[in-house]
Amino acid sequence: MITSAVADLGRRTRRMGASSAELTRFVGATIRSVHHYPATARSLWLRTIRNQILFTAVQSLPFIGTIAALIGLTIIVEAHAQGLQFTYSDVLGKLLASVVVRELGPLLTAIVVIGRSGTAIAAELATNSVLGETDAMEALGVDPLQYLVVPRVVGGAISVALLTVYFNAITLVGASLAAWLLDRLSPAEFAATLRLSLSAGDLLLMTFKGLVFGAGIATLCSFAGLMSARKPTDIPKSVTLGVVLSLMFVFCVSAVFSFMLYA
Amino acid sequence: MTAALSLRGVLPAAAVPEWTSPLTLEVPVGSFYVMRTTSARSYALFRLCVGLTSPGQGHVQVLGTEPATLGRRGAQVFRRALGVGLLPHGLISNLTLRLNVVVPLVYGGLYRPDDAARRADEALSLCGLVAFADHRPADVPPEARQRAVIARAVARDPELLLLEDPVWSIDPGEADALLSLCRSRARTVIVATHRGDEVLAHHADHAVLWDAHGLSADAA
Repeated sequence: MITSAVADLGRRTRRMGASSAELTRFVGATIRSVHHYPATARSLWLRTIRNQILFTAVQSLPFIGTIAALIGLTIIVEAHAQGLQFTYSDVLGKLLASVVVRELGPLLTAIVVIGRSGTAIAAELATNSVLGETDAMEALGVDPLQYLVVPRVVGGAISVALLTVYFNAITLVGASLAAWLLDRLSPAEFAATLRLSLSAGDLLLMTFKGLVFGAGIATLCSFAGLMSARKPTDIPKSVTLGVVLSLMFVFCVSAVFSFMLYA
Repeated sequence: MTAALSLRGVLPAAAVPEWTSPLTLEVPVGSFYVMRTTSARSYALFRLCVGLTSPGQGHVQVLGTEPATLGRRGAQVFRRALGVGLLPHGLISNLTLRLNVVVPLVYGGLYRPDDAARRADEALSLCGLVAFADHRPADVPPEARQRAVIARAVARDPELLLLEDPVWSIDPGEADALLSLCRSRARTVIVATHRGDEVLAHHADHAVLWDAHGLSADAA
């Protein structure tokens, strides 16, 4: 019983090690493939990036906007319920700057993108593999990393960075509206409290986090999709793997950022 | 170089139940070579030829190169000389037939997009696909998908054309025209078929049967 449990643990550890090595090789090969990008493919490459941004960023604006506005409202309603309206000028700016702009905005945007676009990337690439499309591409001299992965990584990074800025802007607008409705705090006073707590560095950090999250999500979901075995039943497994890896990635990176900058 | 494809005592690294004895074979440059065999064998053989898999034993040389020894970049350059139509057809499902022909030409670094589009239109027209050029693979009949695979493979005027059962669903008259097109656009053509086919036999310079006993002249 104990020996079989230890053997099982060993097998799992070995599998995890092999998967990590495979992921590292995949990331390395993707980065290297950028150096050999065919000059002839530039216009098609830009077209794929544009489509990725259209799908990941533009089409999700209403959804992200709704979530952002509701979160802004919720934070102010909670602050109001806790009686913090008497110390708005002290607490509100810090609360919104630290919780929303630096942490919650990039994190929630990334989670929405994982659910909406990461799953689509993993499912699409797994389907490409199952249908023999990636094999056919390779056989004809097309590198699937150049054609399928790199444009998604670039498009994903730009999309999440833009969406993070949008998410934070809408959250702050929602919070301002709630503060005005509940506590008659004018937008000008609201903006003044924010200005005291937010710096240009925070805005840069938020955008940078968005870029890292977007590139990571697209890379991991592409990895999950392309590593799928050649059976249709592996498509949902690839999607699950892409989501799990991406969630682990964004939470770990978020914790590392917080630790490095504020601990 | 006298052989477009040369296999010496080859067994694939991943076991193929129907391929248990080493295969030795030579396909001369400039020939139209038809091989009748099972889909399991042709699937494994063509993947070895393009370097998607490695031999477990023996040597595979294609156009003077051993594909299994090439790195990722080297393999990509080597495959520019090949026109390939494997099974499953592998047409990219979210692209139109025209883009399915254009993308390999452009991403293979062979042609600029304008030239690639011109070549794609020409190849699609020669394969009788003008009406379907702006349709996606799922929206066209299987026979049109087969033609598109041929159009994609010949659009680059390859040194070596590898086709798996390219005309099985196409009527004999049109199949004859498509095979003539293959012959005129590629220097060497290797076709694997899974059934006896008169039209293919008519085009073949060499017709072989590869079964459990090995290679022999195909009398069918």
